[in-house]
This record gives sequence, C-alpha cells and structure tokens, in this order.
Amino acid sequence: MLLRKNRVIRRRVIIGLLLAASLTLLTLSFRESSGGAAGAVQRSVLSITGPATDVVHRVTQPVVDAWNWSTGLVNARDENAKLKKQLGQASNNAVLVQEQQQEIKNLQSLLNYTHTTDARSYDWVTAAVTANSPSDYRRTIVINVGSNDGVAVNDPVIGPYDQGGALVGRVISVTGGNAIVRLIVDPENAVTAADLSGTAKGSVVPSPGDPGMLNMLMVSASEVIHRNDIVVTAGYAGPLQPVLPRGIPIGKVSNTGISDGDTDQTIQITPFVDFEDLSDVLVLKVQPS
Amino acid sequence: MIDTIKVAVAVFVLAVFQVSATPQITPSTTGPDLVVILVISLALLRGPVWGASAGFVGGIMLDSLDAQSLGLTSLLYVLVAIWASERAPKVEVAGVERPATPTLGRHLVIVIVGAVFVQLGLAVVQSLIGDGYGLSIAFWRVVLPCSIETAAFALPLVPLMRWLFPTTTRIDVPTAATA
Repeated sequence: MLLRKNRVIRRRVIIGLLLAASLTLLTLSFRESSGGAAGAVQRSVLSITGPATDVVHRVTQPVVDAWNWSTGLVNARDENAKLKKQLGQASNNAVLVQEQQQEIKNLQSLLNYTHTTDARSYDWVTAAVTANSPSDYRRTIVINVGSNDGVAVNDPVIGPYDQGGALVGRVISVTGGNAIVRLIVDPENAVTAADLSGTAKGSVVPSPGDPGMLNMLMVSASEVIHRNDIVVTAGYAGPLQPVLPRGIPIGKVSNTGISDGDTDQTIQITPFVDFEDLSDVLVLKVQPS
Repeated sequence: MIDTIKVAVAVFVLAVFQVSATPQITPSTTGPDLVVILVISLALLRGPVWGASAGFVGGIMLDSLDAQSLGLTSLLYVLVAIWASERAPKVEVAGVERPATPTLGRHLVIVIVGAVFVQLGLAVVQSLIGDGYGLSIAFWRVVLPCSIETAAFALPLVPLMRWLFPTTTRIDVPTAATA
C-alpha cells in the first residue's frame, strides 16, 4: 500500500516538474532576448542536432528528388509499356542529372548576383538548406554554414530566381556549423524597402491574409507605383529592423491600393524567391563576425 | 536503462526526420508531427512519466530547430501524454495499477486525436500571444494538413512503436494478482 502511494507521488512529482520546466522555459523565451538562457539552450540543441539534420538531408535528398520526380509522372500514365520501361531504366540517371542541372542553375543565379554592384562589396558564402520549419507559424530554415564560415546574426540570405538573386531572409541564430534563417514571409519579419528609383519607401511585412505574399506599408499616397515595379531593400534601418544592404531585390508589385482619406497606400508584393523549393542559398557577410 | 536509450534515440531520430526530411515529401508546406506519435505511444504503453519525459525533450528539440518559443511544444506534449495515459486500459498487478496494451485501433485513434489536440493547442496559443496567423488560416494551412499527414504516418509508426516499446504488463497474461 505504502509502495503504491510512493509510486503515485513520485509520478506526480516528475510530471509536475516537467510541466513547471516547460512553463519556465516558455516564460524565459518571452522575457529574454536570444542571448539569454533560453537562447543558450536553443543554440546548444541546434549545435547537437544541426549536423544530424545535415546528414539526414543529404541521405534523404535523392529519395525526395525521386519522390518529387515520381509524383510529376502522374499525368503520363497513358504512355505505352515500352516507353515506361525505357523511362524506368533512365530514371536513375535522369534524377541525378535533373538534380545537378537545378543546382547548377541555382548556383549560376547566385553567382550572377554576387557580380552586381550592390553585392560586390561584400564577402559571401554559399549554403545548402538542411531543414525547413515543419509548420507555418514560423517560417525559418536551417543552413549548413555558421560562425566558422564567418556568418553572423543579421547577415542577409539570398536565394536564386530566374533573373539572379533575391532576398530570402536574415540570419537570426548561429552556431559553429549551422545557422537559422528567418524568411521574409515569417510573421515576425519586417524589411525597410523602396522601389528601384528609391523614392517610394516603406516597410515590407508578410501579408496576414495571404501567406506567401508580402505587403509594403507606410508608402505615401503621393508616390506613384505601378504593377510589376521591382521592390528592393532600402539600405537603412527601420524601427526594430536591422540594416540590410541597399538594392537586394525582394519582389515585384502585384497590386496597389489606397482608401479614401488615407495618407498611405498599401502595396502587395509577390516575392521573387520560391520559398517552397529552396535548396541553395548565399549568405552576404555584412555583419562583423 | 536500455529502454531509456531506446526512447532517447527514438526522440532524436523522429525530431530530426520531422524537421529535415518529411516536410519535403509531403504535399503541404507543413509536415507530419512524428514526435507526438512516440509521445502518445509511450504514454499508452508505458505510462505518463515515459510519455511526458519524451515529450519534454522532443518539444525542446523541435522548438530549437524551429526557432519557436522554447517550451511551448514541450508543454503541449507533456499535457497530451497525461491525457493519453488516462485513455490507456489499466490492469492491477500486486495492488499497483499498470498500463495494459490497448488494441491497435484504439491506439491509432488516440494518436490521431492527440495529434489534433496538439495542433489545435499550438494554433490557439499562437493566436492568443498574437503570433502566427489567424485561427481560420492556421486551421486550413496547418492543423488540418498536419493532422492528416500525422494520421498517415501513424499507420506504419504505431505498430513499430508497439514492437519497440511493448507494455511490461499485459492485460491478457494472468499474473499473481489477476489469476
């Protein structure tokens, strides 16, 4: 009887301690900056799990590519048996070639970006995306470069698109070999931006009603902005926003709107980068590491 | 001791896979919650302390890899482990109430309901603290796809968990206390 009572008490104490520890960590993570105890725990866990995510990413990437490739074949079911057989024999090679071509295209886009006037004055390092945020509450990625490669917090991260490179996000946490990047479509993100002429300035934030799209706020109603105008980083710091170098492309204007009596207009922006298919990125080393 | 090592390895492997592999092969932008399958399975097969401990560690790993508010996922996993352990069939051995192996169907249903609880909990807490998206967007973009994908992954993982972590006292085996 006594033994049973002791076990029940011990069980309740352990569960109570786990609940209290969870609440304490949650409180600490809200009260402290990333340099506090909660941030230290996160960095320690990341430094342990980061290499493992890198390994799992490398091991599973061919399977993922094969999976994606296979799902793309759903519409080709009516092909005859001979073609299917040939396709099957060629599929292994095709997956490898397709993967390498995409990687070359991405890296070429990023390399082109490093030759632009705005990027030429900075050192840079390329990185592979090893983990994605598993939910939409946080839009973050983990990349396989860190402070050992000269990467520092607030460094901008560039991703490839057809015309070169465009802003993906900024580094928010770094360990020796890994870094966490907050994407520009993360709900907590904001970037000071301007049109190419530099006259229409505002703050680019994620669209609350349309995940994946961006809104440019605080643009004066007197500024003239057209659809398909390109929006780039403004090169100055906003309230609670770190400085990013001027001229990094963000996206193009897809819609503009202003209500009667408003002094500001709201501009909807389609980002250049496809965040769902991000595998190679480039980190501009703008912060002193 | 061996069980502790098995649980630690399972938490690590599932958390790493949840972040680095499964989001890429699932059709939605969110991925399945693999850790909750382990947490609920342990709570059902071994009791709330095992489930809550695995949930606490797994939650910290996921929050760290996701730059999430540290402790939020742990808190929800610990709560769902307590809830799941209450749903487990019990058998009394030598005056002590121990978990007994639930049927596979019951096990799957509890895992899926628990996964929905965790996702709804995350959506509500994120909404209350003014983070993330509105509840309706969170439901359609995160809670629903994540729950469906978790259910799909639970089909092979639950039998694996039952094989890896068998209940130490089975309800269908007579013991000194029940015979």
